[in-house]
Amino acid sequence: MSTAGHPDASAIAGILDKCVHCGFCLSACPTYDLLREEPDSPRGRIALIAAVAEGRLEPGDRFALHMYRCVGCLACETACPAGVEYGRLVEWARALVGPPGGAALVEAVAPALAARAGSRAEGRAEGPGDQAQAPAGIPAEGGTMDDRETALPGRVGAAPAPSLPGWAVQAALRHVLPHPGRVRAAAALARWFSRSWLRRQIQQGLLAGPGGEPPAPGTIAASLARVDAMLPEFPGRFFDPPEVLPALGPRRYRVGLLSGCVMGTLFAPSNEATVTLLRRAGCEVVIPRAQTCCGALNVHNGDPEGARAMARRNIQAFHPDGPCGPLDAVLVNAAGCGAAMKEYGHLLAGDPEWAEAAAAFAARVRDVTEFLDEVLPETTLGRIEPCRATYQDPCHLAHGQGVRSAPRRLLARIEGLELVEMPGSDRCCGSAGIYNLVQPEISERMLAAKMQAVASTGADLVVAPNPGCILQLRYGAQRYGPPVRVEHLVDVLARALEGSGAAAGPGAGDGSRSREGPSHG
Amino acid sequence: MADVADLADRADKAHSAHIAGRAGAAGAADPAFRVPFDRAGLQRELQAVLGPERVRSYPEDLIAYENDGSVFRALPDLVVFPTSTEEVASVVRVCRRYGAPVIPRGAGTGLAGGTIPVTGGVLLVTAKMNRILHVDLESRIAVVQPGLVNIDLTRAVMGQGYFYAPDPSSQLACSIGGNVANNSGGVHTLSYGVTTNHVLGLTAVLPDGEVVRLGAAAPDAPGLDLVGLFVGSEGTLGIVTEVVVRLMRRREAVRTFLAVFESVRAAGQTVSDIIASGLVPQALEMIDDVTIQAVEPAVGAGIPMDCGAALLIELEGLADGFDAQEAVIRRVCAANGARWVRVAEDPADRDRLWAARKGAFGALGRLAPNYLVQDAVVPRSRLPEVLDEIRAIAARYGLQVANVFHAGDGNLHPNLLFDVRKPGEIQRVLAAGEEIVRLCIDAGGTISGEHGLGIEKNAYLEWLFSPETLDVMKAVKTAFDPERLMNPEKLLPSPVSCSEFTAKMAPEVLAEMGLWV
Ligand SMILES: Cc1cc2nc3c(=O)[nH]c(=O)nc-3n(C[C@H](O)[C@H](O)[C@H](O)COP(=O)(O)OP(=O)(O)OC[C@H]3O[C@@H](n4cnc5c(N)ncnc54)[C@H](O)[C@@H]3O)c2cc1C
Ligand code: SF4
Ligand code: SF4
Repeated sequence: MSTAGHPDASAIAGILDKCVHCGFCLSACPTYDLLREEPDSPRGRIALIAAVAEGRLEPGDRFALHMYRCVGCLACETACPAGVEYGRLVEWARALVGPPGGAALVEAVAPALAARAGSRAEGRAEGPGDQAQAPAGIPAEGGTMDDRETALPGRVGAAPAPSLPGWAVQAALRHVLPHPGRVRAAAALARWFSRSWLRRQIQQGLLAGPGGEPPAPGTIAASLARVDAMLPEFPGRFFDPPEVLPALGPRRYRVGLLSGCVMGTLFAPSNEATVTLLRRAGCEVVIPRAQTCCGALNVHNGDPEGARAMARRNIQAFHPDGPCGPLDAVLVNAAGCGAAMKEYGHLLAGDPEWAEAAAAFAARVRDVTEFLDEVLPETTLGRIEPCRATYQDPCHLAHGQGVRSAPRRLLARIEGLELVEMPGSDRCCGSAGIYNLVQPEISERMLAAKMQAVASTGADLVVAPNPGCILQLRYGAQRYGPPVRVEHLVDVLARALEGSGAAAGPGAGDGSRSREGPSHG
Repeated sequence: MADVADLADRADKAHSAHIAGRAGAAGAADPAFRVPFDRAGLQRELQAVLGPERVRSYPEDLIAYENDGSVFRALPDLVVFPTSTEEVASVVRVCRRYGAPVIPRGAGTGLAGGTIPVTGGVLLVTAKMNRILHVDLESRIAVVQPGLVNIDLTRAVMGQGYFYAPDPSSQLACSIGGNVANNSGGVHTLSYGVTTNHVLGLTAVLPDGEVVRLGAAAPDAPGLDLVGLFVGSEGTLGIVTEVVVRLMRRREAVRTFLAVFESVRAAGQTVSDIIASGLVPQALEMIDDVTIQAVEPAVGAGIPMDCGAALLIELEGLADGFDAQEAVIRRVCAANGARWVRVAEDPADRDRLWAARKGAFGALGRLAPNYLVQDAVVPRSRLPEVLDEIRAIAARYGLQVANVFHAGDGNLHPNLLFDVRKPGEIQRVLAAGEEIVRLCIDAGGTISGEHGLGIEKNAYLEWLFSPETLDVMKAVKTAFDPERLMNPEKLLPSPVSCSEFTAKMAPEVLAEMGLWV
């Protein structure tokens, strides 16, 4: 190599070496599929990361743009015959450029502003840094301001929407997620807003024309209307169980459970269903209060330090020598969280004090579907109202953890449920953590394609064992149809085990029920 | 013949002038092959044609397009994304006016550096030209854009019981345009032939920007077979913008076998014997022990990691005949000391077996950062000895070789594994590669065009053909592209062939040129 190379590159050199640029990953990649440009493909991103590692390319805004356009679905890892751990590469790159902000923000906001002004945004949106960044042998000029990609190449239809501002992402990553209390406060606020008079006023006054018609595409009102439409239904309560719940019947296992930020607030009933299922399967369930958010969003958004702090807290909370005691497994019902926690060993590998405990912890993490599939001996898991269901593979379960058949096997054991595979069930739905907020346009296109795949199955129920997918697909059903129900696998299972076929409140009457939330209604 | 000689002479002169011009512009001592042109002006004009978003020059764009499936890399000046024949024609016309080279690129899976812009210039990427324009199942044809991914065509017609036969191992990624340009083969080439056997017609943009339609929707079109000429021309005669392909009807049944051997030699002998028995399976593929070390962990096909070689054998057709054919296969395998032979249990099992074969090249990344793959054909009867000799050559150069290939056609793909950063290693690899090619030619074989010649193997043409034959080829190139702006320095012997520049130039010089090997 002619240049010195990036000082931190040693961490990823071994991974970069494995890529033989064969291109097998291209067709697996949802962003390449839509944009069909190499810098938005796994192979191209790896080439860019390699160039930064070699010291040939400065990691500037343009580099950041391509890194953050990746949905992080890890489909490329599944496709890669050489075993390139792409996820680690992109985490490295994102840590280098920091949380999303600049590039993604410019890309998202500029078209909206331009549309409002009736002309293209003026000036070099990304500042003059380009010249200085041009590596040796590369023509220095960047192109005209017009090709600064104020518009996405090949974009169709969907109204541009402002992405989540960079400062908001960073504030959330650093000051909200690490503190369960603040997560709840934020969720309570959002829940209050979602039901409030204020929201209705905004909907009627700002987001609709005088005759109630939707705002014109490309306007800020349209973007806000999109965010408004994405605002989920909030359940009446948060997940707030006792720390230890005994097995129902003889105890066969002792397991820990991650409450999860999103699962604990937006999906409290699904968490309760999870607890019920586990207890019925003979598990004593331990839900330590000392636990915190898993840190996945931090890892994926350029804040590994924040993630490490959270990982340490969780390792401690579930430590066998701590108050929690020995556990057979630490279970997770959100795929993204599980994938991140299975990576704690890697995350803390450089920390001599924690490396060993982190690896031991990671080895005990299981997705709840993996575990249930193993420990529920019954050939039939009850019956539900007859329905045609299709299964969405959450990226971080299928590609991130290699769990594909366990959830399907569970579904197949439910009477009354007919499982129909959808084409591309392991193609990302566009939710991807906060991707739908920071990359709204690509996300919308991915979602539209996904809903088409759902429609082709004729299913009336979509099962997805991950909160991000569920919210995204519910929004998709609303926006693009078909009008399907979208549920977490544990809710379907719990209902089946209830046996009545009716949507009986899972967890009712067995003590795991949470306290009512503070602002009910 | 006088005419041909004359044309060839002009071609040589034009070429020397071209090289001289470049050398002059870049300074006499500068070995750079870059063609000079007014880049800013060209960019402006191209933007006027395609719009700003489809003409790129950010460092990030150029770097992402600096290499393909090969070991070479060089930065383009601009990357453009046309979406129609007309746009391609406009781009080519503008570039010609500026004297800028145009390098067509499909999916960039080529293994011989065919898309590497060694002269600089405009990389014309067909990835956004990926529509199926027309399907006529009654006539069994489809008309597609060149950027369509190979497998997507089969996926589109599979439901109706049809498929597109050429199936390179890279079919999940490679484009039909790239297949046409390289006349690619596949694992089923043994019975279905290569790309040229499945292309009925083409629309192409010639180097002067002219749009031509070649061939017809039926085989045996009258006149000169220009389709045949274009297929395999590696983008040196023009850019393919539409392809009329033949579709085939799915066979009633398939039966896939995995046979495991203690040595490459035994597996090679089995291939010879199966063909000698008169049986022509649809596919007959070999992967050797080194490759198995890489690919088995990747796909888990159940190939023992301690075996010497494995054969994948596939029968297709009417299920009735299968049992008799299976008996032959089992007998021949047993006679050659096969450890065991098993039949794929179900479609998923079959997919896994094929994934082991098709993922083999990529999986080599697990063993070494780089590989150089040769593409040669030898008579099947000589397979065992040639395989032994290849290992001996690699050993002499201190290199590891992984063999994975279309055994049924005798089409070998020895992969020399190396690390480009180790000083002197690339030179040893290229030298060993040359010896392997000579060995195959001496054994009565040839270099195959399956992977294209690009900038890696173009020099070998001189070993295969007489000067007269090469002159005819050069004359044809000149007739199409007198200015040598269409994918220059590829396919035909050229001063820019890789063995020349890598042998002569220090890595620092190459790096400075933006040309890395
Ligand atoms: C893992 C792996 C396995 C492979 N297996 C096989 C195999 O089994 N059989 C086989 O034959 N090959 C194989 N290849 C090689 C390669 O995939 C084929 O050569 C393929 O046809 C290249 O297609 P592409 O779209 O990637 O073309 P590119 O690499 O983009 O281009 C290849 C050549 O075609 C030219 N070209 C591309 N598009 C056009 C166009 N529209 N008009 C004119 N010229 C054009 C380019 O200039 C270049 O010279 C393999 C490669 C890899 C990485
Ligand atoms: S990441 Fe894997 S599949 Fe993609 S180009 Fe590299 S080696 Fe091939
Ligand atoms: S993680 Fe997903 S979006 Fe990102 S490069 Fe890989 S396949 Fe593409």
